[in-house]
Amino acid sequence: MRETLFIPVRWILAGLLLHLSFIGHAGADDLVIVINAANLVTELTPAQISDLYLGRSRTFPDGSHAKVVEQLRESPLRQQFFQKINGMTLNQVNTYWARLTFTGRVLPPESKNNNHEVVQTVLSNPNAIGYISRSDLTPSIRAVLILNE
Amino acid sequence: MKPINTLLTWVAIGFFYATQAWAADDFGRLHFMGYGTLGFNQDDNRPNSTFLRDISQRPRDSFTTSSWLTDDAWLRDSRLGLQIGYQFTPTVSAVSQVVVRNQVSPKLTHFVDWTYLAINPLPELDTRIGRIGYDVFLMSEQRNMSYSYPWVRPPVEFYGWIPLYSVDGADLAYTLRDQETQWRFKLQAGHSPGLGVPIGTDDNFYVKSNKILAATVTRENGPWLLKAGYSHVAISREADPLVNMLFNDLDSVTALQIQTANGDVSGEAAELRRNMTWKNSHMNYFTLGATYDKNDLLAQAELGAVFSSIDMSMNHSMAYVGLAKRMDDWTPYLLVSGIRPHDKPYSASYNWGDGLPPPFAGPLNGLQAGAITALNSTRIHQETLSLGLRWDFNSRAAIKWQLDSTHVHPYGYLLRPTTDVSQALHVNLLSVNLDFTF
Repeated sequence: MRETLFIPVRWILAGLLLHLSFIGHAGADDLVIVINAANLVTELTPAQISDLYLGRSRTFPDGSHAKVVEQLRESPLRQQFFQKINGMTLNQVNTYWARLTFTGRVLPPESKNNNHEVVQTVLSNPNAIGYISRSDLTPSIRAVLILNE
Repeated sequence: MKPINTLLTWVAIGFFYATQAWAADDFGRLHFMGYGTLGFNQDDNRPNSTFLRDISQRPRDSFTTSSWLTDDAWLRDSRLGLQIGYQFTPTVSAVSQVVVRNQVSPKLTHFVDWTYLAINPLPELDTRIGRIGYDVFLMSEQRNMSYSYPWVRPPVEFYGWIPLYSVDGADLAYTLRDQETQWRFKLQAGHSPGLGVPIGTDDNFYVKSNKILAATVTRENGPWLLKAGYSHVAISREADPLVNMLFNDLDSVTALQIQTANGDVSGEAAELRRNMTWKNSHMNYFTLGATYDKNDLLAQAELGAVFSSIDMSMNHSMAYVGLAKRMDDWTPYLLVSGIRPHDKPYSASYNWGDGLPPPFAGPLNGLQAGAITALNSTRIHQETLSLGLRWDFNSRAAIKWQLDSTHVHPYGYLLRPTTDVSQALHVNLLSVNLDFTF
């Protein structure tokens, strides 16, 4: 029982430290990739995140199912995210996902209307992964990567 | 085991494994999506030929110069796709897609491109059961989805004559990751729901296959995607009734054991008959494709070859190279494609009726000429150079303009029905597409 309690506490502390560490050198418009605090994943590379958001991978590195949470299709945040994570433009991403979706390979990820809804989904779902503005990062979720402005 | 039992067994196994990885977060997600194209095209050689996008289409007014407002220039590239998907669990989903497009078949089932149950018992394993997309070539599954590629349509020399869109069966894909490289091995097996192909003025040949096997290997690394594919397709249906009369006449000549001073007439008739018999024939497709997609550059190329057990079918090699440069919302592109047959046109070394009494000579020569014309009618030998521009004016829509310049060699007509296939033809085609998704 002590062990099961220890793990979330440890991750919350780690998330808090990571969160605080961003404050010193991250701009207000930085993007942060966030996961649920209970998720055992400690870090993700840009390539791994790109694979999740391009439907090439459905799981985290530890094999657990990943629920990908998207921002709105035309969102400037989404444009920044793909530009930074893999250099793709929104036009590229949209045509890519059209091919993926309409060839039936992958159903598209769920889109949320704003950062707040992404945070709520990540908070409530241990398998969720999303991206938000750094300014909307809260200690209750964990950042696994920051994409600098 | 009956097919339905096999299907149910697979479904049960899939559900069992799927529920092991059940996570409530993705349960019950229903997706309804669609795509479409409103396309128009016009060529500069209407009296001699007319353009078709693929072999399932029939020109309404093949060789006339009717008003562009009333003919089917609006129908060839236009299509509407509707897709519904349901996510039962994170690892079990069902997808169905209906595509309304211009084709000769009035059968409703031919508008259902796929309806299947997808099960992912392991993260690296994908299985699909039901009506699935025929997946061998780079663009096999996205032929109708014009929004997803730069050009107006897949190169007709490569994709326009492939008589398969769907497979009723199952496929299994295994994905292997090696650091930044992803390998995907896929096997597909089943039979064809059929595709209507126009023959003559009013008849259709419903190309059906009772055995389709396909294997592909795909390698993705950074901007590179390489795909190699092999497919075996056995044809299970004859192109009756149009060819029945021709077959009966050839069989009669074969049975008569006619030998003339010029040669074995009955032997040649039997050989022609064999090479025109679709039923129980088979085709083997080989293909190798590559895509490079990085930043503002998209390059795509594909090589393919088809070997058939009969001359009436396809024995051809085809290739295309496409290059597109993204400049914000504008994407100019260049596309070169070609197809050529492995053999020269079949020609008579002598006339069957030579040396025979006139009452026999005339019909025999006529039958020989008819059979040779039919045999040569499936040869394809043409090249197309395309220049185009895509404008993504909206996050869900794009407009494309494309100019095709096509050279057709004698006895090499693919999608340009014409009155005289013995002559070469040069024709230009201007197309405008509005592609959209919703």
